[in-house]
Amino acid sequence: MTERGMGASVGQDPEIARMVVGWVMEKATIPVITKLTPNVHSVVPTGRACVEAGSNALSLINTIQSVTGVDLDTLVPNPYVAGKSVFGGYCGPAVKPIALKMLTTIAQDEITSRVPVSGIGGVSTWRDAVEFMLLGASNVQVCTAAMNHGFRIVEDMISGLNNWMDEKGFDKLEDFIGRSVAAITHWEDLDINYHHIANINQDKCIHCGLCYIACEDTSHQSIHIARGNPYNKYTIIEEECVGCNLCKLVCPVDDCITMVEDRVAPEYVNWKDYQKLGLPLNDH
Amino acid sequence: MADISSNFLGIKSPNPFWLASAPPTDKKLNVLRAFEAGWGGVVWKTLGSQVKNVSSRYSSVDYGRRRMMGFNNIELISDRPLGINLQEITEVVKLFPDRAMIVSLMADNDRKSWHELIMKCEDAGAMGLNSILDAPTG
Repeated sequence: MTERGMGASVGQDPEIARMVVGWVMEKATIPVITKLTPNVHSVVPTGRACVEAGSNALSLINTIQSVTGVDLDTLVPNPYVAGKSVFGGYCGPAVKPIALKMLTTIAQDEITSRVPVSGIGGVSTWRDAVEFMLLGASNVQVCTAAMNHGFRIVEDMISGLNNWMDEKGFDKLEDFIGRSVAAITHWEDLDINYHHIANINQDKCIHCGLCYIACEDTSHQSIHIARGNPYNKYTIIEEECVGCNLCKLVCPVDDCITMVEDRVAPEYVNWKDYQKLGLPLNDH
Repeated sequence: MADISSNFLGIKSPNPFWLASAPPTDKKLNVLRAFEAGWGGVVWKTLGSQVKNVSSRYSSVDYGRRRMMGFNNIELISDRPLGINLQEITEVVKLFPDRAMIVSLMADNDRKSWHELIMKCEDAGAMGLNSILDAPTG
């Protein structure tokens, strides 16, 4: 990292983090938030050490070590400093999914979930902020979006949050903070009998064929093409569709491809039950 | 209208949107502008032993026609004298007492340095401390 000979190792080693937070808590008379580094395989051990050492709150994530690219003319990685570069700290919209995952692990842990968390990592809009709060953040911190667009982005964040809360019937922030944490479970607890299949709205389809190419080349060959003039027509082969979402993700038209629930059976069956019952594995 | 005011460990702010410890929060002029725009609080850019920063400092990853999908930063902690930062923190808190003022700290790696820095920040009017154990690029 770019700090001169200190920093990273302190935040990566739970025992050193515990010692430093201990020093801080000996002296501080106001609330202490400890900011966690994402440059570890899990933020939980360092988070636990900080909470056990008395930190009143946690914030995450700090920036992720990165090399953003190499200039193909000078052959020097960026940012450029007199013919050299160093590893930097990555942030912005690209890191949001990583931040949300790390935040969730903090919200799910019995020790780290005892303290409030300030969510950081690519928050650019009120929607991003709400997602962080649904996954356990009491508030959010923003940087890159302000550096990109200026301080006035907060006006939209304030009105957007207000409107969404009114629409959902939430009176105060505490009504929804952490509400989505329990919806992230372990893979083996997922319902194997849940199944959905794609549906292409022919009135919205622009006949671009992106869904067909994606499904044909890289997924389950579940889209039928009827060659025509001037347009080809694409329809889902329902018995082949595994409901992976890929066609919907590549489709450039909003709400053209939707996923329609089509359960295998009404009851909930997880992977452990499924094995015990000796139910059939993939049949295509 | 929903109530979007936030209470984080007793630190109150009119909304849950704080600016993170980073270049936008490294001096009074920026923070005053942020508060005038409506930000609920700031985490003042990390204070510690004063450093020297290099040029250039940022790079980014564009995606398609969008700029800055990812942003990369090699700026260190505050490169301004500690006394000026502390004085400006005091001034900002007086002007905007309803906003959260958290001060980010990364002292040298010994107990005495941390204690001295914490005392100075509390005296300056910080409402909370943000201890950084990570390399704080930005």
